[in-house]
Amino acid sequence: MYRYDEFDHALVQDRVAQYRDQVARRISGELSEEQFRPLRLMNGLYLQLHAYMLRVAIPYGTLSSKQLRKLAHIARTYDKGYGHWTTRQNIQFNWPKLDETPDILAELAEVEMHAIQTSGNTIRNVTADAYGGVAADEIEDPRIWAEIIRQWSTLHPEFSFLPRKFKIAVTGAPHDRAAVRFHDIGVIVKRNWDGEIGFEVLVGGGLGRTPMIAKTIRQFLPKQHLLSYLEAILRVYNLIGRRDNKYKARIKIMVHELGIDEVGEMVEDEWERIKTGELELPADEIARIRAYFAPPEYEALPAEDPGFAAKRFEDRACAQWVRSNVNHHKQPGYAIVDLSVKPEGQPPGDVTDAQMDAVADLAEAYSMDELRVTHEQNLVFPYVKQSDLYELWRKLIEQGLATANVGLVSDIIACPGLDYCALANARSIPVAQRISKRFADLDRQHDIGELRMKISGCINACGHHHVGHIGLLGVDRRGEEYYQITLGGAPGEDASVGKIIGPAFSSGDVVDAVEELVNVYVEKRREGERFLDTYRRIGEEPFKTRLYEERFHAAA
Amino acid sequence: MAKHVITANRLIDGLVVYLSASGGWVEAVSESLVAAAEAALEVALETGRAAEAGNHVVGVYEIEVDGSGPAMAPVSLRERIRAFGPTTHPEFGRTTESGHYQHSDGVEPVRFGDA
Amino acid sequence: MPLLKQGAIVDDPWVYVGDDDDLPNGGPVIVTLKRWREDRDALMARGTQVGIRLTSEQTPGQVEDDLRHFGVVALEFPAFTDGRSYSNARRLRDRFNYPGEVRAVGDILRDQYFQYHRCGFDAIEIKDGETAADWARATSIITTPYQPASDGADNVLSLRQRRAAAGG
Repeated sequence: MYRYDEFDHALVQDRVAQYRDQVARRISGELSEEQFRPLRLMNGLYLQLHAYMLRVAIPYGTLSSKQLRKLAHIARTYDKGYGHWTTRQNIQFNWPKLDETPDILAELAEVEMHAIQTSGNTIRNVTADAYGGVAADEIEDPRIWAEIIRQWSTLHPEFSFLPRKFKIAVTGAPHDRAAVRFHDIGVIVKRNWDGEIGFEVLVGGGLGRTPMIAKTIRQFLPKQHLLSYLEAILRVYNLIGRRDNKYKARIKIMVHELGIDEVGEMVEDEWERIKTGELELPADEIARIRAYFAPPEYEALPAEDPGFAAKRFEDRACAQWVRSNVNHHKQPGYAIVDLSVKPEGQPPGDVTDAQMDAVADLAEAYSMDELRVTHEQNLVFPYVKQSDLYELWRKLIEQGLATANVGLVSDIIACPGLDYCALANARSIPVAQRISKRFADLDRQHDIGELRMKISGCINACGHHHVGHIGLLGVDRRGEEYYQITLGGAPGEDASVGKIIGPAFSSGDVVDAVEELVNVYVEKRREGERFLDTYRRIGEEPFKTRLYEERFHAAA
Repeated sequence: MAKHVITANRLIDGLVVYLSASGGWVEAVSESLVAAAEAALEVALETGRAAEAGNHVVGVYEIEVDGSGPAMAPVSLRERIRAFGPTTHPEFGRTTESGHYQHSDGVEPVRFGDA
Repeated sequence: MPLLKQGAIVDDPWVYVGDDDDLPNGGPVIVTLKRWREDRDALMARGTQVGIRLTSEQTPGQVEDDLRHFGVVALEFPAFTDGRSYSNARRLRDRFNYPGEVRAVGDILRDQYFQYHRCGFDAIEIKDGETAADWARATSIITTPYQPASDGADNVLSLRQRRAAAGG
């Protein structure tokens, strides 16, 4: 993984000192809250319902054991003993004290981490495929390019007060595990006809109030031009993105209103003038960064470990776990292991300090000291030998991180919702907990198969409900929590935005409604169809009829 | 007029606080100054805003409350969550005399380690 | 308003002239785009320097052909959260190669010094009562930035190149 050199270290330390000064000026009263708010936001500090919340970046989701131990230490020392993995490869601490936040950042700097630009109208933490470097279908590790983007975007002087926040995601594989089509910019690593590495660049995707699928602005961008091209997009957006209405300020609205062709022309015009400048990436800098992401020293192993194959045969629970939580690795004899942070009935994405310490130890023992954080609020061990799988599985069970539900109905993405968030209209986590309990039977979940369930507590859509096969959006109806259901969303290469199926359900009814939707699918599915496939084949009517005419007559 | 109290977040630690009768800020909603008339509410809000201008608290506003004494609680769900803590982690909530409220929809708070 | 240049408060010879004000008899003046368009000939005939003040809605591209006449281009920040003038400053310096003074005016905060400076501003109208010492604390915050910008400063990308070239 990437390691800071003296320049990276100096920059992050400078930033901690600057932030420390800003906090001191706020506490002394020299800065008003109005003046301080954008400054603290640029360093990921929010004031939420109960307390401050600090969002720490985990660039492209890669963590070392040492870094995870530091996060555990921070949770224990400065917070209430837990943290929350977000849907954008960040971790949030929910209870830090303002005057201690500079110390937290100083501790993070010790392990090459920071909270720079995890909020504000800035270029946010760049995300990438959590399977980067190990996915069997990958063209190149997207983290090379995500790290290059991270450095360019960090404290970029021109883009610290954009019309609105700006999110970039990178995938190095055709199978999109990073939801690049729902980012302000999506970067897809591609090869051209000559076999050269470059990028397809997409722009104008996003969720929130107006969900949009990104459009391709450039089919192939040669790799040395990545930064100049991004700078051209950002400059055009900074100048002409709308600033009159917060809800129309994202680049997706600009692309929608002007059209991708016109935006494309403006970007090309800007890019032509800057592409051969200082931002043109030198080959040796690309090589320097690439070297950090070189494959680790794998052992030469048979493609299939016979010992593990036997264990799997003997232990049904283990086999079930392998089916949902273990993935193909590009290296023979290795596996990618998903750690489910969605145990039955628990808040999605919450981890205690003790769990973090335990995971750090396990990553050190079984995954070459490295782990990943997914945008689905789970963790990944990227380098597990198949021969270690059984032992690792037993140890993950002890930590409550081996629930065999990754990609299944109880692997729910949920935003913090009204339990924490100052913007929320309704709670998300308790609904996720109840759905998780309703579908607690793992055999049933495996029978239902892949089902992406996503819950947001308000229209800002941090829980990605628009791209859930089943999405729930919390709304406030005269002081009561209601949940609007959308069907048919998908975040990947077959991207689609879910469609609202009808009137919202009360908190008391919503879990029953979800179960009915699943029942309709189970009744109507054909061999091999996922929930999404069945929905796409039969349309919304059967689901609608069941909910609004048969099951919840009164609700309709 | 319905009963109201003044709330904000404390600058230094961000915690939810309520204006007390003594003009200070307390963490328990049950110990807050209750305004039952427009004029009293206006005076209380002014006191709160002065504290905000003095950089002791952030985001002063009034909320409606119900009940009295140790049983006093905000009316809205949002404010009950602010007063008593996240419904998902009771162990991280506020430790007030009134304890944790039970949710009307029957959600049972879950603790870490519960299977 | 005190004018900060190169870390010091300096005398500001420039006078803002409103759209309806009479032009003073002598001395350099800064006018709006509207005034420039209406009174271009009269302003040029005065024989003293002229500057222009652009709102964040306006762009240097709108006066591209006239830039050589301006001693100052003042770019407004109507609120410090409106970041358009950063991009306009960069285009002034990098695209139009404008050599004169680029002045940051409006809602100016010292926490943004780094941004002003790096985007090509070389003069800042600071708040009444602020001192050069207040601003000095902001000036050294980020020793070496990652990315190239319009200040020509060393940046991490270029320093790493140099290091690589030196075989380090």
